[in-house]
Amino acid sequence: MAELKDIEIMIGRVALGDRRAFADLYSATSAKLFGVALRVLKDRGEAEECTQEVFIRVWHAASRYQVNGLSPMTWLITIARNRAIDRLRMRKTGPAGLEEAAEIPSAGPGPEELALAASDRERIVACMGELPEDRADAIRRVYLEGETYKELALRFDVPLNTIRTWLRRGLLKLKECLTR
Amino acid sequence: MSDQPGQGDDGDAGLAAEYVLGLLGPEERAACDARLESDPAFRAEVADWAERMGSLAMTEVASVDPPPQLYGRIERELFPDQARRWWQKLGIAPAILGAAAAAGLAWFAVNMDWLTGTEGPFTPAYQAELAAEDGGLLIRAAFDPETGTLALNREEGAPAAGRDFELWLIEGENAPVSLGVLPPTRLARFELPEGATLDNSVLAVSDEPEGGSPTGAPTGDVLAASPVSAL
Repeated sequence: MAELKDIEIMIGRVALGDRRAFADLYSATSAKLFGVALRVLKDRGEAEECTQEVFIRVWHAASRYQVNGLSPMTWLITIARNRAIDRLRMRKTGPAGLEEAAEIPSAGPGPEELALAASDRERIVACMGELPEDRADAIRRVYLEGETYKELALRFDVPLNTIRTWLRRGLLKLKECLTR
Repeated sequence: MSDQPGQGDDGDAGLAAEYVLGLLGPEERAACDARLESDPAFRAEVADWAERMGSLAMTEVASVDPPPQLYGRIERELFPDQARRWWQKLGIAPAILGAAAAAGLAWFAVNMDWLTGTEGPFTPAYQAELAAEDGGLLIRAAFDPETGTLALNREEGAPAAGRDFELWLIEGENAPVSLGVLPPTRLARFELPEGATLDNSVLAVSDEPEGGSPTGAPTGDVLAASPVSAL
């Protein structure tokens, strides 16, 4: 895996229409993004189509990356995950559209945020481990399986009118642990 | 949902997380979209959640190499104008350079194995395009003199039942020499006879009985022929 800084430079070049940089970016990141699509969709053919859509989007949206302030892998993963979840939901219910959420906006952090992201990565294992097992499971299911509150309520046998509070409690505990 | 949405005792953290996770209904999402425009603190909260979830994916989701032809599909969709050498369409990526190549080279090598039957790069130095006038047959060929591999990509056309396509090499004024019968697969690999060269040569495909010409010379129609050009 290329360094995050390399990936950021590649995205910057792609924003200028550099096709070679696009090929490099694909080489460096396609396995991770295909992995995300495959994990969500659990179907190779669909994951391939999804990954194709993701890279086409990346080509067109690269110029917006520079102002959105996310670490480069987070930006790419967010696009891939949201695209995959959209496909998954379309499969279940017809078009619903999470697409807009792919446009994660600027938080304006500096380069120090990139360094933080790497240590976050290590801590996330510990912090997910600190959560009650059902909350950690629920967070994974929402993030990687696209499950909705309704589905969570059924699965974890929590009344629908409190499932939101139930999940939020887990999310806030995760945040608290990660920012500790 | 019947619990109180939006700001609760958790400030915006819960809402921002739900936004990133795609748990909000259309109205709440639209409200968040509007806030993102005007509220830097909320923007930062959303970005933080995106990073947290991105870290989760980086940590817990395994990388999987996509199939080698995927890049070609993306490239064709994005850059239809781009003149591509056909072997790139076999899934051989454009030159992949630098540190970023580590992941890419693995599948590059796999494809090369298929093309060359050995380890090592396939570096075409000659190509030919065999096209029937009626468009019913299109075969592209590329040759790497280093490995002696002639790779064929049959893009259009298939022999009739009980018939085969046979590939011929015609060097200069010499009689055609059979390189073999095309397999049913789209991609095929041939080797040139000892001492054969593609300089000043023609490749041709003829329609032959199943198993190939019984005489050692073309017996059926020559469907397409093309001079071989150096790259």
